[in-house]
Order: sequence, then structure tokens, then C-alpha cells
Amino acid sequence: MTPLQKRAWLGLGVGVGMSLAILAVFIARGVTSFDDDLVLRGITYVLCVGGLLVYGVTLRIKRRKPGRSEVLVDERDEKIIKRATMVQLWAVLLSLFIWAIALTEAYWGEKSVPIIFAYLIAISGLIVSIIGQAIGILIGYRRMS
Amino acid sequence: MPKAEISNRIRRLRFDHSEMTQEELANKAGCTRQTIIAIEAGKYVPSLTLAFQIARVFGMNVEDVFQYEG
Repeated sequence: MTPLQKRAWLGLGVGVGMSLAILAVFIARGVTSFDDDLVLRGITYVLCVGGLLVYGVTLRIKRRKPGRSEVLVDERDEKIIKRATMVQLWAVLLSLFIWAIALTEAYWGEKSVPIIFAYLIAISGLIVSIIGQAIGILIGYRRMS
Repeated sequence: MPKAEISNRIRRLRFDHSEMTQEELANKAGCTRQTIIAIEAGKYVPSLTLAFQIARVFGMNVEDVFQYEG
């Protein structure tokens, strides 16, 4: 398994883990309590920033083994990651449009959207981005191997 | 426009060169073993640079290693 494939599986794990964490937090404390619940707001901020930092760590890839000439990432890997970035971009765009349409339809009558959705959109964008890229990488390896 | 096919003789050439392993060829050509496997299987067409590097490992011209079947 190449470093990029390992990263993709890690990304998939982080993405699914974050999704489950968000679901667990909001089921446990209730979505509507966001405005009054300081703890829920704190957890949401930690998940947002923490998720971004964890994702940043997974982006680091060693190109060569230390002290050895063996190549770990080459042109095929770079081509795969470029294509995966397109999958990631489209996945994020799609999720944003789905949020926009869903929120517009759900809150049309009220002419305003609860503030919690700003964070949910940000977190879901991050999760979709991580999972989208991971899936793009795994598909790329499946096609080019 | 019909899809161009690039075939190669890498597997044959490896065996002709003291049964060179995919790992050895990858290290000499500056790519990963997985890429050599993918090229041999016809799943990946290398860049011109990598094609030249692979040909150089065998001491041959690119067209002796890769064949264009357009």
C-alpha cells in the first residue's frame, strides 16, 4: 500500500469518525440547544478546529524513505491526487448546494436560518472534503493498478 | 479520436537483464514498484520523462521499450 493510499484510508477514518462524533454530540445535547448551551458550542468549535488540524496532519506525505533512495511518491501518485482533488471539489460544491436548497426550503417562511447551521455547514464541508478526496484517491488507485 | 494504446516490453526486458525485479527497476528509474506493476499491466501510461528513465535503465531507446499502437 502506497503512502497516499494509507492517507486515503486515514482520511476516510477521520471523516467517518468526525461524522459520528458530530451526530453523537447533537443527538446527546439536541440541535436546538446550540443557542443556550455553552458546552455544546465549545464542543462544536473544538470539532471544527480539531478536525481541520487532524486533516492538516494527514496531508503530510514523505516522498522518500529517510536515508534511502527508494521513492515513496511518484508521478502516478501525483496524477491520482490531482484527479482526487477534482472529486473533492465537486463533492464540496454539491454539499454546499444541497445545504443551500435544503435550508432555503426548510426556513423559507421564517426568512432566517438558525446560527447553528453556519457551523454545521462548515463541519460538513470539511468532512465532505476529507471523504471526497479519500474516495477519489482510492478510485484512482483502483483504476490505475 | 480513437484511443491510442501504448504497449511495452518491460517484463520481457527485466528477465533479459538478469531477472531484474520490479523493485530494482523502480529504484533505478526513480518511481515506485506499484507504478512499474501498473505500467507492465497496461493500466498506466508513464510520462515521457519516466519512459526515458526506464529505457535508460535497460540501455535502450524509448521506442524499443514502448510501442505506440495508434
